[in-house]
Amino acid sequence: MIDTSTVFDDVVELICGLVGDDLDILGVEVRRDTAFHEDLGLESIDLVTLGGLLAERFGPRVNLAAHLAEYDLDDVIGLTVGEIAEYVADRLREED
Amino acid sequence: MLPGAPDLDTYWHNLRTGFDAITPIPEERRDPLFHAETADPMAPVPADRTYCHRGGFLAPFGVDAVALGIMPNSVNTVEPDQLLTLRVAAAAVADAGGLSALGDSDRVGVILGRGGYVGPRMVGLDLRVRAIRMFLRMQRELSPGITDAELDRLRDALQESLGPMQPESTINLVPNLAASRVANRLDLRGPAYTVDAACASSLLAVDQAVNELMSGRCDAVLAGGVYHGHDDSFWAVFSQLRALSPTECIRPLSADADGLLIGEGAGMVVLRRLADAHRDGDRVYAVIRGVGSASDGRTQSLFNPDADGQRKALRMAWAAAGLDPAAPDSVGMVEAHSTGTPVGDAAELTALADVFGAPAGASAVIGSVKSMIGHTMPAAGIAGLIKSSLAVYHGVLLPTLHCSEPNPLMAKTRFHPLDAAKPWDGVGPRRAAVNAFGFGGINAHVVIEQDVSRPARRASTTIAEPERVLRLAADDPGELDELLDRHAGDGSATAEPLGDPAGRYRLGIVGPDEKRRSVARRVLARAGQPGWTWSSGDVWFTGAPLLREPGAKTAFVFPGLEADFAPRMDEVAALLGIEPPTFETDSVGAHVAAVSVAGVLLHHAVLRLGVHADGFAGHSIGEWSASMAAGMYQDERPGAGLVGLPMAEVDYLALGCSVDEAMAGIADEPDVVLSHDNAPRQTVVCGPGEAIERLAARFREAGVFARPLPFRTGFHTPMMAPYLDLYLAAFAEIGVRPTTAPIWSATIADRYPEDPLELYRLSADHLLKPVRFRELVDRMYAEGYRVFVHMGAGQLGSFVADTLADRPHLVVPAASSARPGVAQLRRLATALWVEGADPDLSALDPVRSTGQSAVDSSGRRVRGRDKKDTGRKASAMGEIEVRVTTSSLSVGESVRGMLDRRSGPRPSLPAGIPGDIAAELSALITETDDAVRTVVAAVAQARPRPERAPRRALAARPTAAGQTQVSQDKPVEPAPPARTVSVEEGGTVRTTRLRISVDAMPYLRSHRFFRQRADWPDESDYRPVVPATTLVEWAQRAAEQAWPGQVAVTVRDIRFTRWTLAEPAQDLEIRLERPVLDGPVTVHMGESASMTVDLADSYPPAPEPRRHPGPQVGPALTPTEIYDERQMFHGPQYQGLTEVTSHAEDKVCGRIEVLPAPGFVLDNVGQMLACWLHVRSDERRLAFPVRVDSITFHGPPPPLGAAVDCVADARIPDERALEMDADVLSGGRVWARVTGWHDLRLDCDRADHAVYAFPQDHKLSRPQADGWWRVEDRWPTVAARDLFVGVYLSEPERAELAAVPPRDLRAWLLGRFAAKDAVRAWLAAHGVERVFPAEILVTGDGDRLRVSGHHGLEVPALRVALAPAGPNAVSARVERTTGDD
Repeated sequence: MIDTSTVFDDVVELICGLVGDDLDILGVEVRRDTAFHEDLGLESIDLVTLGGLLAERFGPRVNLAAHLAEYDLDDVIGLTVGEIAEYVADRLREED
Repeated sequence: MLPGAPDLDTYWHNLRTGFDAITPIPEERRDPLFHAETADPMAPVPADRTYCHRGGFLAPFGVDAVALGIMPNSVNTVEPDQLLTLRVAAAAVADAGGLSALGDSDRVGVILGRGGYVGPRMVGLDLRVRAIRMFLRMQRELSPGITDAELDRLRDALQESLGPMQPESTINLVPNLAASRVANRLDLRGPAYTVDAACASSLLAVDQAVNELMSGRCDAVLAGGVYHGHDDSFWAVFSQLRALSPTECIRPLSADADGLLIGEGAGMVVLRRLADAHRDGDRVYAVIRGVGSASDGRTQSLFNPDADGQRKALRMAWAAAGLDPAAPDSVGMVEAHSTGTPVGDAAELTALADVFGAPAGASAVIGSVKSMIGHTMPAAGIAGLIKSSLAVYHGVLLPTLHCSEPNPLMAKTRFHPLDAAKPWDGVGPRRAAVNAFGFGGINAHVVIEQDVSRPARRASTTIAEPERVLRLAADDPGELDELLDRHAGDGSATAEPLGDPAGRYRLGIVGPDEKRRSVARRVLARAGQPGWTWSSGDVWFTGAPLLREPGAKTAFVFPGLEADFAPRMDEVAALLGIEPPTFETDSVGAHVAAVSVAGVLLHHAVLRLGVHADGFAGHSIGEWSASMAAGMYQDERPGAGLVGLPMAEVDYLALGCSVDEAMAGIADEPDVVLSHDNAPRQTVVCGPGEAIERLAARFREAGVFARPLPFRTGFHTPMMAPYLDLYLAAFAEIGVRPTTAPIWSATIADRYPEDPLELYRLSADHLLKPVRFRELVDRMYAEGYRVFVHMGAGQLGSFVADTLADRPHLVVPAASSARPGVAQLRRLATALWVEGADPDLSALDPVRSTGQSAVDSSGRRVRGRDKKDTGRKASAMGEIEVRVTTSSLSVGESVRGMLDRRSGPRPSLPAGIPGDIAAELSALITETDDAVRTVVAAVAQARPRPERAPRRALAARPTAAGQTQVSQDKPVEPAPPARTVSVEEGGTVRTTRLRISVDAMPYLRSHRFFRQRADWPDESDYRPVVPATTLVEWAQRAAEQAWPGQVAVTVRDIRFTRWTLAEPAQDLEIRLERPVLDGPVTVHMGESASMTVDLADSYPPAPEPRRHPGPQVGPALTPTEIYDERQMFHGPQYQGLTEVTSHAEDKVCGRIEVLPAPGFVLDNVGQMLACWLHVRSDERRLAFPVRVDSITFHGPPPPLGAAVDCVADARIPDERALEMDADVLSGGRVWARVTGWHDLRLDCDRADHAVYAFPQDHKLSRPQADGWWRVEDRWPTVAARDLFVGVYLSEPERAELAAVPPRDLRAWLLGRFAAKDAVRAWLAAHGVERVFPAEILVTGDGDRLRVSGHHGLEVPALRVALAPAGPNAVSARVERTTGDD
């Protein structure tokens, strides 16, 4: 059984690692509706790194690249932390 | 406008940075004899020489003649200083808030300092009026035997070399027009006049202006000065006086000053009474406190400056100001007149010491802008006044060049020079004084100070209050914290920085609300950490400004195509005073143009901020924008004029990985290549659609982001090779010139080469080789680039940031898709300021920008309907360059060497022959010479000489009714192109417009690409186009009409760049340029073609025809085969071939019967070559001319009905090309010789050609089982496939096609082809045969299409089912929906 809140916390941790101290300084709290680009100031090129981090943490079945292939570019830009966490949880559930 | 500074922003930039604008005299203004090298610059020079060759020169400038109310061809009859003044006046008015800000125009004056020196136009008139006369008189003295006829010819040739005389233009030489023209153009009705007080002129003008304002006669005055021309006589005066620096360096106030260098330029200030300015909320640069002027009186010499007179002027000004100059804090900066002559400097320093003294603790800066721009004579005072006003306004003390060791007399003053700008600290208003002293002992002095009573700016009712900007600088992070606390609520959109402007720790906040201030506080809390910087959340901070590092550079980087393109540009356009552009990205061409336009607009906006690039770079096609911004192209065209050229149909795939990983991943896909190495985390590959799809799936499988890009161009891959010619032709057309700042190429990861040939090669490689952007960024970083301004809103900035990673740098976009244009520019400016740049935030001030749109760059009042024009002007298009050079006398070919024989001995006349006989013999020899010369010389003559100009012996054109008029016996004028409007643009440029339509030119109905049913009503479905050779003939005739009396003998460098469609009707602009008198004519025919035409008085003699061809190979082609079997698509009026034969050694012969359509004969020569191709090759059987190296004509066009023969050497260099050299013989003599005719071959085999030639009888699809018809995409290029778009689709279907996304295009088209073929087969089975594809209209999406008859065909209710049939194929089958079977 996958605990979605644990997955969310894990994803947040990865993203905090990616963004670094900047979150503290910007005073941004990472929540489900925190947007990757708008709130965290990340560029689409940064998804490459996030994809790598997710695969490293959760295994190769979590393939952000394959997942986002379905998305329009606008949707990718507007991606939220919650959406990423949900996808990870889905994949892990399928794995079980 | 001053040397090195075309505008105020640049001048301010140069003043602060100590820019040395002194250069050698530009080549075009340098007479090599006058400027001959002198062995010893210290020795006396003759009157017609100078020993000095450097000075301050204005960059070339243009004017929009139409906007200025000047006939375009009269621009260069006006003294340039008048045009210069107009431009500067317009800019000054715009800067002041527009004409409306000046108040009642009855009470606005113009007072201009201008010396009575000759300008280039007056010199030209003097040559015409006096010099030629004297030269001829001297000729007679030197050669008593010279005849009147010879002298007349000489006179004519000399007068002619000065260009045509325009009697009405002589008014343009009147000197006071420099002021009057401004009043006239801006409709100002106060006094407008010039004053001449030599080098003190401008300040005397200011003195006058102040009086006009004080007396209440004027409410505003434009005051200033102008000096322009650099006439040799002026240099001679200063050379003779030994006033010019023999070491060619102007060192004002320096111990080793040895003379001046001459500068030029114009400056103007707008003066108003302070109370009025405050009332109206004007920006006040400085307040004039007092003006003084005095003459030396009777002194030892008129020319030596006298300290007494100067003292008097200084004291008068300070008395007028009510201030004591000797007070310790009286003045912070003095702009000295100092010209760098030892005598002058000594007098001035003495006067300054006397008036200001050197009280204890008093210290002030002295300087002279002449060290940077030279001595601008009557404009010198205003250059100094503007400099001082800017210094007072911005609070910056300014440097002077070449004064490391000041004149020893300075020690007695309170003054010292600076070698670098520094903040102007201190209490009380900043105060400055300006000197200007003129020859003859006229002295002027002005005292100005900061406007400390500056009230709040006039509030605008229509514009929302812009965001505040807070900029803080200190040498200690703690101080920054304090400043932040103290000024939390301060700041305006244009507020000056607070704290120590030189401080190392710098914080910038846009919209400093509580949230951002908290961010800033947290940022400052870490300021102690080494290398800590911040640039996020609208807050920027650094402790080590990048641009303060030695050698640190700023790059402007222009984006190429990106998937998302949505910069917000409306405000940017408003800021520039132009209409907001509309951006389309529906087609790749439009997308390219839009990206380019956005980049150029942003560049203009960033320049407004006073931010300049040290280098330019671009990503992919962004390099075209970069080149444009750097000034490499002669004019600014969207997409560098390359929009609309064909591109390869291949797909791009953006991969989220490094180039190495990407290369490993595509190793087994031979058709896929690397196209872009963007960044460590992004690489793009390119190849055929199906391979790209395979790769996308595979990369994603491996966890790598893979996103196909939504456009197809094939740029930066070998797939562009087939189209290269067209692009290179377009490049060749653009015309490039050297740039001052380097452009960086991502093709070679290095600077653009300077050598034009190398540059041309690089243009080709840019299209064929990968974009190495990552390597380029690394390289630029190594060269010192630290700040990258991204001229767009997309991803490009993240490529730079990804590449540079942790290395100190700043990437900042000039546009954003999230926030309005000005808000983003404000962030850009703030970020740049933090890194040590000095942007002018007031340039974003809406009040100011509103004012600027009130008067455009030419000074015209912009009213409603005029507003559209300003867009054109903002991008500097449509301007006519002002010729600043002086005319010189020179004769044309007709009389060159005319007097040669007299210079040597005359051995033909034995001694002892009486004088009268000698004279007679002499005259005889002359006449003989003349006779010979008349024959060979090609003379530039403005007047027509019909008796010598061969005309078309027989001219005939079909009339609108399609009938032909033939005139056999007398020469007639070549028929003018239909509905011609001629626009004179000046002596060397002629423009003609030609209305192209099948109604006006019925012969074009014989030049239709496609066949349709006989009664087909929609002409566009036939696609009638103008034959390439018709364009050539039009170019010849247009050149002959423009320069009557001459005939077009050679047409060369012909490039055909685009089809010229005749339906729908369109206007074709034929632009003829003949920059060199008597030289070649460059002809641009819209976007369709370009070529060079050589004109001469007569045709060159016919050469020997080429060797007669050897034995015939194979049977001759007959007209039946050629036209009835449609090897050629031509209709009756272009059918001229009566026989084509092939011969050994790839020779081909043809016989052509001449018909009247323009370009007829050469079109048939082209057909002959294409016929030969049909005999020789089964593949790529369609060929169209793309370029011709040259065609030389040896006589007038052959008469109608004649038979001409053509003999050609043909070549097939490769599968894409077809070439020939050919002679066309008329009456056994060579009429035209064609060299280097190049055809492009389209992919079209025999089967395809049958469909093209007889579409009603052939199908692209092949029948399958069960009634399916299958069609396969076998066309490798767009052009080849486009052919069948024309064969199959009708107008409404083509319109629908235009909206199909590129990725779906192939499937959509194949579906249409197959559906139409299936329906045609069904109809044939039901007794309706020979149906053209266009007669069937197919509609609908998906795998079920509806069909109906188009333009008359009756089709029962049918439906067509589609099914994919392999990777590149689609099958279709007809299904009945209703009715019987």
